Formats: sequence, structure tokens, C-alpha cells
Amino acid sequence: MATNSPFDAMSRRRFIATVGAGAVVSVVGASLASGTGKQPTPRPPGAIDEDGFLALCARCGRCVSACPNSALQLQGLENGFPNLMTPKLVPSRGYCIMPVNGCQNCIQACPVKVLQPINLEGLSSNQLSTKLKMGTASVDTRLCIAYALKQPCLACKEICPVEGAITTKGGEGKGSGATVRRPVFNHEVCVGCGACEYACPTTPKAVTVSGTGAKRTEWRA
Amino acid sequence: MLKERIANAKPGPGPESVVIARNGTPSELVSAALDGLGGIDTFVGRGDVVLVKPNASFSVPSGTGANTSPEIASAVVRLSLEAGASKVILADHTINKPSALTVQINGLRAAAEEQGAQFLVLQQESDFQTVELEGAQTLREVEIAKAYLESDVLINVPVLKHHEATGSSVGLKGLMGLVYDRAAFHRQGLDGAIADLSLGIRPSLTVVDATRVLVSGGPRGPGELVEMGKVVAGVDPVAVDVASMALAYSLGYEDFGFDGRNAYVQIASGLGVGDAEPSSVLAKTFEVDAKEGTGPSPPPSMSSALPPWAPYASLSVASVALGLAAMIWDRRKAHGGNE
Amino acid sequence: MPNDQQSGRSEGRSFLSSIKLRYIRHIVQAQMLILVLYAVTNPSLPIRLLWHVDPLLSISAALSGAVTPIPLLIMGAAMLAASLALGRAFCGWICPLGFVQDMISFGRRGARMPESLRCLKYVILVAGLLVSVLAGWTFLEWMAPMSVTSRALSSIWKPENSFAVGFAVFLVAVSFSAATQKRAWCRYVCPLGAILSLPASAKGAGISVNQERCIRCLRCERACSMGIIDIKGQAGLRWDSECILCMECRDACPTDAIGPAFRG
Repeated sequence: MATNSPFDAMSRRRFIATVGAGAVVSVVGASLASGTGKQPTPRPPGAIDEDGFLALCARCGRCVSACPNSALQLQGLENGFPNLMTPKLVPSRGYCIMPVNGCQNCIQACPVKVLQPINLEGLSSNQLSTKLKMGTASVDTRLCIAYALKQPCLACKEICPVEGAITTKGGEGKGSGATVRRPVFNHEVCVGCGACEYACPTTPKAVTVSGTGAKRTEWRA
Repeated sequence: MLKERIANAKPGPGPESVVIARNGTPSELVSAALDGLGGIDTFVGRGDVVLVKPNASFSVPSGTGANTSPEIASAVVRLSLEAGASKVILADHTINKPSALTVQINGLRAAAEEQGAQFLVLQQESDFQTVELEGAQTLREVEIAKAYLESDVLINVPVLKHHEATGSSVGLKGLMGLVYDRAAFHRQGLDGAIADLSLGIRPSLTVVDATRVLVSGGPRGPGELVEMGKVVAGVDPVAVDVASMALAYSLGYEDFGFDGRNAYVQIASGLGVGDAEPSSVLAKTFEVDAKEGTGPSPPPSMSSALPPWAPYASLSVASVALGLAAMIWDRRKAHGGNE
Repeated sequence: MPNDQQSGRSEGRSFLSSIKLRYIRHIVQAQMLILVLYAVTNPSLPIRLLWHVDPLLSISAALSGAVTPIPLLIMGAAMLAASLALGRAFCGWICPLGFVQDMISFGRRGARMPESLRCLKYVILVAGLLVSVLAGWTFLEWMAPMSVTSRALSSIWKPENSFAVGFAVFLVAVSFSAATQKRAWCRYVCPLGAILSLPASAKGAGISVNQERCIRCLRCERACSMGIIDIKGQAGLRWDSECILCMECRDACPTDAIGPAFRG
């Protein structure tokens, strides 16, 4: 019985030419589209460095289905082709509960270990950010109820699970002269879990979490 | 119904008063406080559907003062069942998510289940129904838990604690756990909104957990905890709040007072919900000493959980069976065709 | 002889040869899909092997230079070594995306596609590897069948999340096959299929034909999932690197002329 391989379907020369031409076109097109988003978006906890992440993430969606708080989502094209189908933290939908109870579901789910385990043992709440940091929260004082409308709110401080990440200023004085308490964000202590953004009652959110300041790890088998 | 029961109530300080129980275990404190009001039968009738609403918002363990103690909540559930309630539900719309995990961490789910009751987590919009608030000045309408609208009796079981935004949080503030969109409260004026809510949700009874009080760093903590060992109960939700706050204020914690803080209490009083005048409230407040007594032992909890692989193993078996059946059917058909 | 042609099935046919292999194969494929479903809905389970067997994942990651996942490279190499002997058997027996395509296209005959289109999957493969080298990220995972399936299941399991992103490729693959030919995705697009077909050789697993029994009925040609049998064109029934060892040809043959073979 004669053998058959793709090289027999057409002449070998034409086959190589077709493959080569197609590859070049694809490469040019794909490289042009490789610009990533302007603002780094927060990744799931334990993420390795961004280059390694983009190279090795299987885009399998297992971390997304693992999150008990529905905090993760697969990206579309908002951050460019390289990020398509990779996971990001979406605090307006759900926040990471790792600072609350040490949940590492997404990390355990990842089949390629682009999410590496984090050891939080022995760390108190305000020390979590030394090992766990997905990003940093900050407030836009033009949109915040406490800052802009001078009305009591503090929904962000109420829900924040990390001690010292959000403190308050104001609240001095008595009676009608009393100032309203306003949230102050400590960028060192904040782990970027997104609970504050989740709870913030304004539209658009006055409190947002960006990926800046995130602590990434190295890939280990 | 309630008025008749009040008229037939047992002697004691009476349902018009505010009762503060001291000196006992959580269970004893709750029993003593309710006995002071005339007994649980004054509020829960045979066959009633009872909704017990604790503070269960925060995913911190019990004993940290951010949530109602499981022991207090459990005692209220037990007494309601003993009074002949047909169904007792413990429910809350928690701040921390996922709610199922939150109520596991803070022990309130176990508190329901150890008495054979259910913890109902309120989270979908379909769990709530829009209600118009007559006489409201800030919130015209609000989505309120159907579980409340469908119950016969609401027993509000809040924890007394400090709150960064309002000053303190007790029963009136705790009713926020029965609404869907708390963000609206923060947006439209927190104090006015809380007061308006009390027009729409009327607990039959408020039982305040003042056993271990978080006096700073609330509503979640961590902060300073004061072992107060008391339970405050009453029918007038405003008066109960005032009496509870007075316990902490009298120890020097100014955030529990009314000077530039806790405006929602006065606004609610202005709407006619209850009496916020401190001297008037204290005039009808009685302290009782909880007596010794052992309640019935809680029924053993029954939980049967399927192992996680069970549905998949059955899918697997089913697919193998289906494949083999198809194969045998095919063989039969082939052989039949060749006879 | 007329008798032989009519009742070739029941005469002298052993029990084993009268069993249609398709049922065994579908049972195995179903278990794989159930396993992926189990892995997606129970994320703490260390079922990672399902994704590790894809050599594209580790090769493209290594080519990018950003990370060198040695254990994954070893797994991928093992998979390629296995295809020396087994060809694209993974596609026919293991791949959940292949199973879905098999289920939606029971013997249907759809639009014909040009044979030269088979090159497309090699173009995609080379382009994907080159993007890794030049741009440092990989797009091959958008099309890797295990990821395609797990993403789609994940979108169902957590429906509030990016349904479009999760389901898009799965739907494209399935509709392509449903609208054109059986296993059109596998024939023309799948880069994993492309890389697995490269080490496949005539010395590995395949099929053998008993030329005396063959009656030129062409049922095998119609049954072939990958469309690589060409009796009419006088090419006869030859082994092909694209063969996924589905054995549909064997099941379809009325004279028991085709059987699996390993020519070592």
C-alpha cells in the first residue's frame, strides 16, 4: 500500500511556498496587532510576569470557572490581540476573596501554572500586600460621594478586608459643623482585591483598581 | 393579632417597654429579655412563619463584633420554634460575597441549621420586590425582600456596633440587610434613606446583641471590643436603638451619641416610627437579671452531601450503558436483516 | 458469487469483527468530554494532564523565550513521539471537539471543500509558532481543542462571564463541520491536528485492506471522517498521515475487507 502525506497532495515546492507565504502574511498581520492595552488590567492572584503569562496562558478559562465570587473574566479585544481570551480581574462584577479566607481556587485550577501558589502563612492582614498584590485601588475625588457631595458613605472602607488599606480623614467637629469622613487609600497596604470597587455605589465607580503596582512571580514547575 | 396578644401577655415590664437583660449566657439573656416583654408567645403565634434577621454581612469569624453572635441568633430561632412557628427562616443580604461563604465563616448558617431551620441567603433581584414608601422623604420606593413580605413575624436581631459612616449601627441600620440595592442608600443620603426604610419594614420585635460590642473600627472591624454581656429587646425599633446606643455612650464612646452622628434615629422618630427622646426611652427601660436554666439540647444537624464526582460518575456510567445498548441494537438489526 | 455479496456479514465472521468499533470509540470519546466537564466544574482537582498533552502549548511558550516550562515540554515531546506510532489517533479517540463534531454529523454529506485547503492548518501552525518567536505571545491556544472546549464549558458554568469570548471558537468549529463536511475543522483548520500528523508515518498504526474481499462498493469512501479515501480515483485505499483511526471505513465495509493494522 502506498503511503500518503501532505507533501504528496501537491508538489513539494508549491507546498512549501504556500506555507511560507501564508506564514509571512499571518506574522505581519499578527505582529501589527500585538499592541497591548494602555492601562495594565489586574490579573488573577499569583500571576507570573506579563511576558511569561502571554506566552504560556492556555486561554482555557478554568480559572474563571474556579472563582467562587465570579471575579474573573476572559478578556475580549479591549487590550489587544495578545490579551484575547486571557483572564482579568473585574471588580465591578466580583472581588477576590483571597485576603478574606486564603482562597486560591484559580491558582489551583490553572493547568499551566501561570498562576503560582502564594504562601500567606504568618502574615497579618496589613502585611498581605508583601506577597499578594494584584494591583492598587484609588479614588477619584470628583466622583466620590464623601469627597464631592460631602455626604456620609464609606461603602469602600466597610467592605475592605485588608486592615489599613483604607483609612479615613475628617469626621471632626460636632453638630452641624461636623465634617464628613472621607476614605484615604494606602497604596502600600492595598492588595488590589477589588472589594472597594465592587461596593462603590456611584456610576461610574469613584473607586477603581488598576494593575499598577502588582507583584508578579516567576514561573516554577 | 399582635394587639390581642399584648393584651393577654404575662405580667412583667410589658411589651411597651424596653428590656435589657444582663448576667447570663447568650441563650439565657435572650430568654430573659423576651420574658420581660411578656414571653415569646406575645410575638409568635402557633403556625406563624417567622423571619429572623441577624447582621450577617461580614466574612469574619464570630466573636469579632461585626455580626450578630450565632448563639444569640440561634436562641431566637429556638424560642420561635418552641412557640409553635410553622417555619423559621434566618435571612440576610450580606455585604461580603459570596454570601454562602460569608455565612459559613461568621457562623450564622450553622446557627440556623443547628436548630433545624434554614439560612436564606438573599442575593438575586428576584428575591426582592419593589415597595413604595408612604411618607418617605428620601427614598420613594425600595426593593424589599420577599421573605419579609411573605412572613407573619419579623424579628430583627442586630448587633450593637460602631459604624464609620453613621456613628453606630443597631436595628434601624440593620434593616438594610433586607433590601436589594444598598448602593442607593449611600447615594441618596444615608441617614434619610435608613429612616425611610423603617416605614416599609416593621419588625414585630427587635432583639439586640450587646454581648460583645465593637466600639471602634466598625462596621467590619477590627477594633476595640467591650464585653458588655447584655441583650436589649423591645417592640419600638427606635426606642430599642436609643437604649442600646446609650449603653455604649454611657461608657464614653461618643460615636454612639447624637451630636452630629446617628441622624437617622432622629429622622425616623420625626417620621413617626418610634420614640427617640432619650429620657422618655430610659423611663420605660428595665434591666432584668437572667436566671439559671438549661434549654433543650439542639437537634443533631443532618447534612448529606453528595461527593463532587457523583454526577460525573453517573454521566460516565450512563454514557457507557448508552453506547453498549446502541451497539447491541445495531448488531441485532444487522443480524436480523441477514436472516 | 452472489451469496457471498449478500450475506458476507454473517458468514465466517467472528464475534469481534461483527462489533462496530464506532460504539467503543464514542464511549471513549464521551468519557473524555465528561472528564473535561468534571475538570472545569471542579477546579481544585489537579487534572492538568488534559491540557499538558498539547505540544503546541509548551513549544510556542518556549519559542517566545519568556518562559521554558520543562515538564510541559517533556509531555509535549511524549505526545509527538506517540504520534510516530499512532498518527492522529488522539483526534479520533480522545479529542472532545472531535467528539462534538462526530455527534453533529451523522453520515451527512455537505458542501465539498477544495483539497488544497488542507494546507491551511499547516499555515496556521507555522504562523502561530512564528508569532511566538517574533512577538512573544501565542494565538495557537485560541484554537487548541482542549482550550476551546474548556472555554466553552466555562462560559456555560459561569454564564455571566464573557459568553461571546468563551464560545466563539467552539461555535465556529462546530458550525463549520455542520455546514460543510464531517470534521471540517479537523481537516482544514486545527493546528494540533497539523502538528500531530507530521511525525505520523506509514510504519505506525493504520488500516489494512484485503484486496480480494473488496467489492468496490465505495461505502468506505463515504464513511471516512477525514475524506482521505479515494477509490473512484483509482488511488485505492491508502494510508494517509491525516488518518484519525476512527475505523468508520472498517465499520462501513460490508465484506469485512478493512481492518486496523500496525505495520511496525
